Amino acid sequence: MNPDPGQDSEFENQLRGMALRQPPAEWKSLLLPKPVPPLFPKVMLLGLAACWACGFGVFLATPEGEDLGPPLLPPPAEPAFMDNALAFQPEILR
Amino acid sequence: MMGGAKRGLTAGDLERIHDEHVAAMFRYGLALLREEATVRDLLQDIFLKLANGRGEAMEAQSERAYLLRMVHHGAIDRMRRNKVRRDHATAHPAETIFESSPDPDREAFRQRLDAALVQLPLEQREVVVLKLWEERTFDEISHICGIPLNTAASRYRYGIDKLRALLRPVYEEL
Repeated sequence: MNPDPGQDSEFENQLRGMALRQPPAEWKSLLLPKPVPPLFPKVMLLGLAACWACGFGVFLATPEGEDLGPPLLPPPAEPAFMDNALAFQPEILR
Repeated sequence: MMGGAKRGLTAGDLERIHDEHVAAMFRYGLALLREEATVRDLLQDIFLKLANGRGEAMEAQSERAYLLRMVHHGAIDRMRRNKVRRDHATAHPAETIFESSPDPDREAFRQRLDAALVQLPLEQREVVVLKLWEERTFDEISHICGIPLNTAASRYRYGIDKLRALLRPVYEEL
């Protein structure tokens, strides 16, 4: 099959010495798939986590038996509110 | 290194694979398809498959063989689909795996070598390219092309003999 191995090897070396092409440099950006943006960006997740932490803090800080309604009667020490002449009561001034 | 990850390769892995192996993949694809645009599409498909987790069976020492095997399969598929095989001999002469040379003698030899390479049957051409210019062993070539080791060796020998016969007049001038 190969009558002259020595010459063949020299021939093969000659062929190996050929300069080989490289792919065009601009192919790199075409070949590598574009990175997919995350569905939930990190900043958004951090913001959500901060919100949840604040909400949980408020929940923990709220006393269980707290009465959030207005007072039923005004404080006893305060004088009656008089904002017109019909409400004038001279006995109070004495 | 790549083992076990069904999720696909990271962007860093893909960039390293590109930098280390894309030149060999490009030349092998070009030797088979003889058309740069088709080779680019093929390589795009391969990198997409790798990104989607096709690299999980790849091992560090045979990484290039694995990738060249992907090129082989992709190129064969394309040739069957697009009939490139029938038309490859009439491809543009610039679409060769060799760099042109400023030296006129070397350039003449390059052109003759390219023309001779096109005249080889595809099966011999791919083995010659893998062995001579991509420096693969016959064991790797048999894996890449899916042929027995002895077949790879005999295809290489037939291919070299044919190239030698075709190039003898030019080679003796140099």
